[in-house]
Amino acid sequence: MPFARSERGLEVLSYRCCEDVLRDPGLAVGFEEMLEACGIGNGPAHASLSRNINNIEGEAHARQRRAIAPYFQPARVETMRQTLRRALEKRFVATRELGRCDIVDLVGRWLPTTSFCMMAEAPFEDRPFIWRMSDEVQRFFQMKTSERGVVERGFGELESYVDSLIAARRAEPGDDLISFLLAEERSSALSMTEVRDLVVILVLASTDTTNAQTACVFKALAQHPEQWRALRSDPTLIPNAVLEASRYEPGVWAMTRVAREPAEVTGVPLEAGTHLFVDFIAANRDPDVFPSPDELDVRRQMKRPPLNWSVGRHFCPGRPLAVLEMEETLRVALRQWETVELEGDLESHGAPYVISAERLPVRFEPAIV
Amino acid sequence: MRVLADTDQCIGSGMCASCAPAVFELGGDGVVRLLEAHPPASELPGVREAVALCPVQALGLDAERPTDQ
Repeated sequence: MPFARSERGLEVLSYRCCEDVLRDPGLAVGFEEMLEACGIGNGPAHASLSRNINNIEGEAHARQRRAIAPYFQPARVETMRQTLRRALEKRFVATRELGRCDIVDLVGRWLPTTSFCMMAEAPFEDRPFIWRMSDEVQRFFQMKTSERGVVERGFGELESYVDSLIAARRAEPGDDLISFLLAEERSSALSMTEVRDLVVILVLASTDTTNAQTACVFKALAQHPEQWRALRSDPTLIPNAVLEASRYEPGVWAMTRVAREPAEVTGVPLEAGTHLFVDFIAANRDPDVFPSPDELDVRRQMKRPPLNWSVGRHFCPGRPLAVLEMEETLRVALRQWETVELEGDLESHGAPYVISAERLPVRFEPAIV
Repeated sequence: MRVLADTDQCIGSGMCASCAPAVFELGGDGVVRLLEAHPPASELPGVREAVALCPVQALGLDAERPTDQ
């Protein structure tokens, strides 16, 4: 069955129907509805998140996507690979003698914020602050009124922080993301509000999600020692392993859509106000697309990608960077660790469909390097 | 040089439009549009990169035609 009804709305289960729903121009992403479910019906957080690139459609959406695309061009993202690899090596070597670590502490809270600071030329000492603001604002995905205060406070701090970064780059432009966006503003490709909103969303979209997916990739591989051995003997499988482990253990379980008008998707009628949950966690194990879907196989030849980064007009522009971060983390871990196993569960707080990873304790046997 | 784009396979990653913006564009619907099916040779490096980086192998160059399904 491609669909199921649940308390929260319509669950979209098959890969094909998930693709159809994500591509359907008549369905809204629905950040407004999520914010309203947290009791946030107006104010700065509502205004900014409602008009941000992940939520809007039409000409403004297409124009902002075109404006940021050159920054995420693969050749540019690639220039970060060596720097991140060296930094990761130092970090892994420092924990080597302990034989155990927390993946979230070692990598998740550190690597995505490091990447953001590199892109924005922000001081590295801002990392814990960036982490906390991102974590707080993301709580609007939980759709609970109890989160209102945290989301609004985090958002206020994040917006002031972004304003200070923009002011600094305006005074002294560099070869960074914010200077790039400010140049787009000077050429009238973006408005000042759009530059600000884009920097806000780039902080939010790059930190929590990459942390969660990294933790999930390690969780999957730590439970499959034969796959870890296969990767150690053939590191060329690493890029495939990142996608396969992301398919098997997605950090984001579902993406939402809202039917604001009565609609129909692949023959299913929807009342106005229906929430749809595009369940990546089900689609990524659709046997029509991924044969033997419950097997983790780092050699799997995928004809279609896992849906973690969506498809269609809201496809994640930061995917090359997120994938690169995970590839390098895995590369360094494979070199340093002969074996790895879980020492406890993946601890996460919050949303019913977005993992916010807090802890993933693992034990490893250091490799002879 | 002849460039091919399979719009049914396209997931909208936008890799092609950033590798060779004179040849590929991403429409508002998130699907690739071919701006130039016979681009000049100067576009070859960008097109080759786009073909190599497309996450779903939806692009082809001359004989390297994507499989029709």
